[in-house]
Amino acid sequence: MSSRDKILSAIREAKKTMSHIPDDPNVESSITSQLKNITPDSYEGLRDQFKFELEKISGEFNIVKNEKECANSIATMFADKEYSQFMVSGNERPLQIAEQIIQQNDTLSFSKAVDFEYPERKDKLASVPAAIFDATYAVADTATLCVPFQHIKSHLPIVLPECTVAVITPDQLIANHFELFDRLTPDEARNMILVTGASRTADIEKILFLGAHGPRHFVVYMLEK
Amino acid sequence: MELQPRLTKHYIKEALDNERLRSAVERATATSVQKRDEKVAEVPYWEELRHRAHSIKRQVIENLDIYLEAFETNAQKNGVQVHWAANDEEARRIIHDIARENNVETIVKSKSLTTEEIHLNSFLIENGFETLETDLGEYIVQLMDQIPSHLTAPALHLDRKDIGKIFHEKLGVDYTEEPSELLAIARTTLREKFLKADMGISGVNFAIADSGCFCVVENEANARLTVGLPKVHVAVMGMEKMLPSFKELGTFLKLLPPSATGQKQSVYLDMVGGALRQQLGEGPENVHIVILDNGRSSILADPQLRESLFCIRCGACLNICPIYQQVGGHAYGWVYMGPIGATLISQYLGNSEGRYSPFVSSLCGACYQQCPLRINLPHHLLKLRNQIVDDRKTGQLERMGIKMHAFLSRHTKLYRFLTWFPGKFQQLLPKKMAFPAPGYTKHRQLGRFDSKGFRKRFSEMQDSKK
Repeated sequence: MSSRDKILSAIREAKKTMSHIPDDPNVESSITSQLKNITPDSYEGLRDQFKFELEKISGEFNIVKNEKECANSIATMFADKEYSQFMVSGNERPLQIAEQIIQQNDTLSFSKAVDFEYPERKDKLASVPAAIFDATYAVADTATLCVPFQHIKSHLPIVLPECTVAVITPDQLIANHFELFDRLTPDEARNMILVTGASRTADIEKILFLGAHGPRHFVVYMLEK
Repeated sequence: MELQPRLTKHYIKEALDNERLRSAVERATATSVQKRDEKVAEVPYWEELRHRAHSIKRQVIENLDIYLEAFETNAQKNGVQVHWAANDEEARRIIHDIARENNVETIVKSKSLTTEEIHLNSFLIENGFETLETDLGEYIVQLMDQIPSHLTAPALHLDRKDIGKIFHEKLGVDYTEEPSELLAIARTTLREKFLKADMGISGVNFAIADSGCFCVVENEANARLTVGLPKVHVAVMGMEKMLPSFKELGTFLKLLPPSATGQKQSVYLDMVGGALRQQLGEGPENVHIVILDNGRSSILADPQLRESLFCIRCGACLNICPIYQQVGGHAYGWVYMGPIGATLISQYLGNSEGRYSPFVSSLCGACYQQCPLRINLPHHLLKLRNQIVDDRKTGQLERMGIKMHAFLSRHTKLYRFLTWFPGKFQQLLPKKMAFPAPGYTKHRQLGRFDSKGFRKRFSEMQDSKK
């Protein structure tokens, strides 16, 4: 008998003693009504909640009117941090913003992560200080970004550089994780990353430090055009 | 460092004598409890979520064969190679063979208690693979040749001086005890290893049966790099980690981070559903998952104790436990510690090896209140104690003592006389002094025999009612 069959048959033997404990019938309605009470019902409410939660975990949130304003702000930030190059990953928007950034500041250059073959891609990404990417959903109640790999193509820019910049739009903003998993298709959810702020650790005397193995700076732009 | 649960009494004595360890554990657990409480207060439907999670897990555990088979089928559809390991030895052999077949030299690991349970690190190192833990706390305890002392904070028992010293000795860097510098040293050292690693090994927080994928919840990004950079990925999963579908995941993602690290949400959730290198040009070329039994099917056989398989390894029960707060994790003598460890050790290792474990608890019930899955740990500890007594695994002296107590409890007059006598004798001692009892009164006081006992208080209470 293979280990697989041994394990499954041991489980089936054990199942003969089901507990038959009834579920509390009021739990679901209570969760639904309490969730409704605490969830903002407007875009502005969700946006402010996202901002509040992100800033609580040392992330940075900016509202911009269009790609140009977004590019201006990112160019200034990169210049302040003395970055000379960055990567982009995702759909058209990060690329358009990146092109406008280098128009603002010609000391900066960028490349697309997907233009590099593996293993050159990982080495390149480990050497650039910043990356810009876009998310598919932004969860307001925890300031979480959801990035399915089938949309972004290269996910390493989210975790390898020192600074990651995400660009989102109002239609991507949703209330909570329950809504997130209702919306995601199985294909999207199967390979994805959820990101909530910069990488961190408190493994030394419970003192919190940002930038454990991943980014130290995490910036989100809300493009309200 | 190999610990043995049968030496628990010895480890406890050592821990109680180690002031530095006790203060480190006390400080860390107090911070964790406070942060957890703050985050729980932000979720008004927390209690309802606990009920929902308990109900989901019960449904999964009591139909585990169905979910495991569905997971296997769907994972294989995604191109994941599924292996089944009945015990630790088989799991180690499977992982060893995968590493050999892929000509692996360097392995990076993200934090996984299941791999600690099967003693994977030492085995791989003995077999010539450079194997490195990458979670900062795990990396520190690996350098110290220790095992984690907490489910989510492996180096909780160490302070910055210990860490500075071990980095200086093992990594050859200048001594520093500045935490930010220590982190920078670890980050630089491990980044190099990530980039050259051929294989990554992770645990699994939750596996999704109807999609054949699994996820790792983390804060440092080391798990994402462990999955995303090397050509081969192996996930080692205790077979109880199943969830039916993505719909249930939201509930567990609300419960786990506040309970584990006092966060509203962990920084990363890495969902892995297959080998992506060919499709996306990055990520692993091969993904393997090892489904581990190692005693879990025996736990499943008991309709009450199977609740201990609901555990999501958050460590909340450790932080609140008055025993853990005093002695830390190594005192339990195995990879699982605290109230959940005290429950699991004798179930995994048997009543002989784990005979002391269920007794390392005050049965105060705080762990039950804190557990996000509502696992009734005090009940299970009591049941395990009964089993151990029934199996005659307790000491002869202890058994005689309990028998004598039972006899005296049934003979009231004799009991009164025998407690009256030392009470009178004790009145000769200074007011606050109690009888010394070797091995017991070093760290606590024995109650005075002349103090107001239960019977006196009870009769006074009844008199006052009249």
